[in-house]
Amino acid sequence: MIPSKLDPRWKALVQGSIQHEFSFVAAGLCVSRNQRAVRMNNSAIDKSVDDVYAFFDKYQTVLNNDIKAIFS
Amino acid sequence: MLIDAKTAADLIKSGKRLFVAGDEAVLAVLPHGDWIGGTIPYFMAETGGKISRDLVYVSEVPPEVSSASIKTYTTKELPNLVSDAPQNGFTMLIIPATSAVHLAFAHDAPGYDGFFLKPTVGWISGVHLDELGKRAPKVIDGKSGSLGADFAVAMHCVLPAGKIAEIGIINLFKQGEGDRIQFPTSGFSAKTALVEGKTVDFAAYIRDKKIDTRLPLVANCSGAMVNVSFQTVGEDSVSFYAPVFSGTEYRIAAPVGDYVKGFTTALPAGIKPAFSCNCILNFLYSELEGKATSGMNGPITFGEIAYQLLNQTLVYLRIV
Repeated sequence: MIPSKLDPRWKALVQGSIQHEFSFVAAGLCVSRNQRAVRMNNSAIDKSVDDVYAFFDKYQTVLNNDIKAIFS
Repeated sequence: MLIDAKTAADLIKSGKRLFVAGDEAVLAVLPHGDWIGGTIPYFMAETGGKISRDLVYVSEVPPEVSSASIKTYTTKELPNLVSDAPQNGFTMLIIPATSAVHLAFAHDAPGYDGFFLKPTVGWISGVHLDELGKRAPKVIDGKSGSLGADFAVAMHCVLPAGKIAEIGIINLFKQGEGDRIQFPTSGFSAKTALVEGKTVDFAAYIRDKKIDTRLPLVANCSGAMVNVSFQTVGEDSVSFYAPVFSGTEYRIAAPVGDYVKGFTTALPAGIKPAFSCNCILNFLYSELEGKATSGMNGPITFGEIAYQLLNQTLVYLRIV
């Protein structure tokens, strides 16, 4: 179960203040891409949270251990 | 499996959905059917790396796929790739090397809305290295028979609920211990770079440091190691086989000693991929002709697609 999109750790993840290495390739690419987008333009943060949240929502079962590590 | 044209034709006529790789002359005479293909004469077969202009490598679309549709994409249509892809499934995408759609995909696709929600796997088609600059890489829509150098071809494959497409990569290259490198602008070439925060003439830097350009730049994308391979080091600029992105930190890769041994060690246990492809640079630099890579067989390609364009990487698809 992933936390609510309002959980501040989603923003911390896309801002890069939470760093995590994913073994699921797509997760690493998705998060990294959105971290870059926010670095280049901070106003992209809400869209990046939407993107990353949607990804985690779709792949919750694959990302179970990552979710525990990031949000525990 | 690496097979002759007649066997491939029989598979197509039997109604099999296929991903096909082979020389243009062979692809052009295969019967119409439920398949897509790209040109390349380099393959990894059960017996090892092989070069052939007569054989084709066919991968059967996984049996879990309940339906599939084939579409072609010019640069104008490419932004529709994500919306055309199924809600649950994957897209096999083949793009001709050096085409405008290759450049557009490499540069723009990761920024498409919802891109990472729609698994995309595939490869960049090429030609025999003796024919570089003389023949154009091509792709083919097997349904219509349309063969061309200026569009990509995709098969959008639907999976039932409970099944997902896993796209994996095997990249033996890790970031080395050398300088941290960034680029002021994104693109397939660079004149300058920020090396440890200082602006340098990048071609001069490569020469002065005697960088082995068989080793790619590597970015650590939250655990996904993404390579950018060197194409040429010119007088005052450096070109790459994939774009570098500004705002991303790269390092030259650490050397890999024995590729085949390293590959076998890196291979996750029990993987039986529905499709895999490996980079022509790995084939050449690690001298893979005649050497086998443990069941990861398929075309040897001018670029790999695991969501985005990759270099010097093995990409595989499996359904879980």
